[in-house]
Amino acid sequence: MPTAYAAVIGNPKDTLSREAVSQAGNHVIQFVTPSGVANGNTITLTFETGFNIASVVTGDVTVEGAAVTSATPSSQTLTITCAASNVVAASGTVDIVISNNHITNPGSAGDYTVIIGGSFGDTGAIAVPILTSDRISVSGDIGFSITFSLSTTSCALNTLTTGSVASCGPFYFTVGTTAGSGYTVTVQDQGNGSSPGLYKGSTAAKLIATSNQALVAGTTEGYGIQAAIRTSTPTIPAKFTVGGTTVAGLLRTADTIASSTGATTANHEVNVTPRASINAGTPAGSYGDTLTFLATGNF
Amino acid sequence: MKQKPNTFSFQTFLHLLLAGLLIFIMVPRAQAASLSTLSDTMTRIKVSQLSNHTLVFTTPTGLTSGQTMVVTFPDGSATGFVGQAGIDYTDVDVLDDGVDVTLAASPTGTTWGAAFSGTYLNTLTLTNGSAAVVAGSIITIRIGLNAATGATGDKQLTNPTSSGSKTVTIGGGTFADNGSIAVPIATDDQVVISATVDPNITFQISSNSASLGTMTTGAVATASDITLTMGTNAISGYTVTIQDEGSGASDGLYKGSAPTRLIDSASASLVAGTEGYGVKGVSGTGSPTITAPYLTGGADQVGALQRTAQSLVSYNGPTGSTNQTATLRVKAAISASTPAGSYADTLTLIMTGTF
Repeated sequence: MPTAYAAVIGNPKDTLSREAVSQAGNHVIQFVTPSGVANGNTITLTFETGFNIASVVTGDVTVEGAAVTSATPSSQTLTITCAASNVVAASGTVDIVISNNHITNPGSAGDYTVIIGGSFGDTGAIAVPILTSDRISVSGDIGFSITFSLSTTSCALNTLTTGSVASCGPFYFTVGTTAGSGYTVTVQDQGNGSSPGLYKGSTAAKLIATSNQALVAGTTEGYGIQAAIRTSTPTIPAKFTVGGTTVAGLLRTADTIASSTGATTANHEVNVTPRASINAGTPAGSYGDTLTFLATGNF
Repeated sequence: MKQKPNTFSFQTFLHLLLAGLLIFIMVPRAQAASLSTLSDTMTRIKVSQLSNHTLVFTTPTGLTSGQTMVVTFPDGSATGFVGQAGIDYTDVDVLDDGVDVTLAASPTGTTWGAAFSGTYLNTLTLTNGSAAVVAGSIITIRIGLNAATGATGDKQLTNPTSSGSKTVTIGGGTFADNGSIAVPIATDDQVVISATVDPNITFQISSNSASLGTMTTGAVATASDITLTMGTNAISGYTVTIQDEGSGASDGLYKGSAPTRLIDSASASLVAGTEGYGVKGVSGTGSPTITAPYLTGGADQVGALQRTAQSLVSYNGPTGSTNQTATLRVKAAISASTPAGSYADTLTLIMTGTF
């Protein structure tokens, strides 16, 4: 008398959404059924000890993309009762999806088995790996870079007169960086070595002081700079972004003139315009000053 | 009898292989953490210039006793960052959360060691003392003249000879963390501003005549005031001189027709009925200085005029935005014997700026 053998499923696989120990996840189980699945058949999925399937409910399970009649966990076995919409023809592929993260992985790493059986008549097993960790923290560094340049190294105000406020430039600086927290560009004034300003060093020395002020030709002895965006989106403190004959005072300490809070997608350029005015009593002679610009990346 | 397909065993083998591989990969190992919030602020970023450095960063792991941290300035060649000869721990400050730690050439007790190495002294190795640096600490490292704790730094690092982005690395040694900072080296980092102020000077005399009218023995004659206006940006100010024509040979108020007569000029307080002649000055706007003997107190006191230029008014600096003024007052007196006739004199006023 011939012995009835259960057919062995083909191409079984169980795709887990997470394979890390103790992680809750979903399972997508697929296999080829030699016998087919009929309406009312059960498919049992027996998860190896360690898996916790107690939270699975009927609504978590679909077969062939359709809801099942029932899905009932008991100990390590989930029994799925198929409805008419779950029918699979002989040699067809069965797709079982268990969603909503209701199956928790074992607490120890290793190779675990899911055994497939049930009244539909076929049997088989699938091995799944459970890992200490299934995720790799990926980090990367964009090359550390910062560049800075000045469009010129000199700016001549030429002969100052009482008839107008003198200016030169604008010259500009260019800064670009990959620093995630952006950059800071500072300007520092040489002045006479102890006080900022436009300085006549020859005897008798004279310093045209610098401050935030509106210069008036012939009346105000004063000096300072203006700054404005040339390209892109640098942040410039308000005291520098003045117009007309108003200027920002310079400092003997490094004073932020431009900055960004993130890497520059394109180089930032900032125009700088020095301005000065004198009155009739401003001593004759040659005046000079040195502005030092420094860029610092905030990595 | 059906033979169990070998698919099961083969897939199991593959899964085991994969699992083993991943487990191997994921076995926890001591890994370097990345420093955060890094910056290196320099005092000069021009090529080949000496510069200070202020490095600031946060260490997620901290340092235990004796751990070493290495700061490497690229690139270990003569064209990279180069430490000045003799640069050592005295040119370094280290702050742990803003608190200075004591440095020496080598660590002892809680004192850190700090030493530069490499052919070009571009590598700074810091060795922690016995006190731990807790995780999350902000470390500040100053190198150069800005190292002020203990001995003041007198050596710096010279910038590379070429412009571009240069990467300073922090890590190495036994320090668990590492990180990098880019610094910009520029062809130039300074703009020289120049300007010229031309010398200027102005001088005005309100009138070129001063009439003493008809002089009598009953009063000291006084001409109308003449206002002198001076302006200059001469750094050392100006001087206005007064020079008398007189008779052409002697100073005074002169009657050229026969018989000639010269009322001599002398510094004196004029008195009606007594021959005399001179001028006085009065300071006005800007308070210029009236020179003795023309700075007189009495109403009729005058200073003597001379045939050579004499300082009348002066100031020791630029006059400022407002011109200065002074008043010139001419006075004369006669006696009963003073011959009748027309008397005259010419006063020449010269302003000179001292630039």
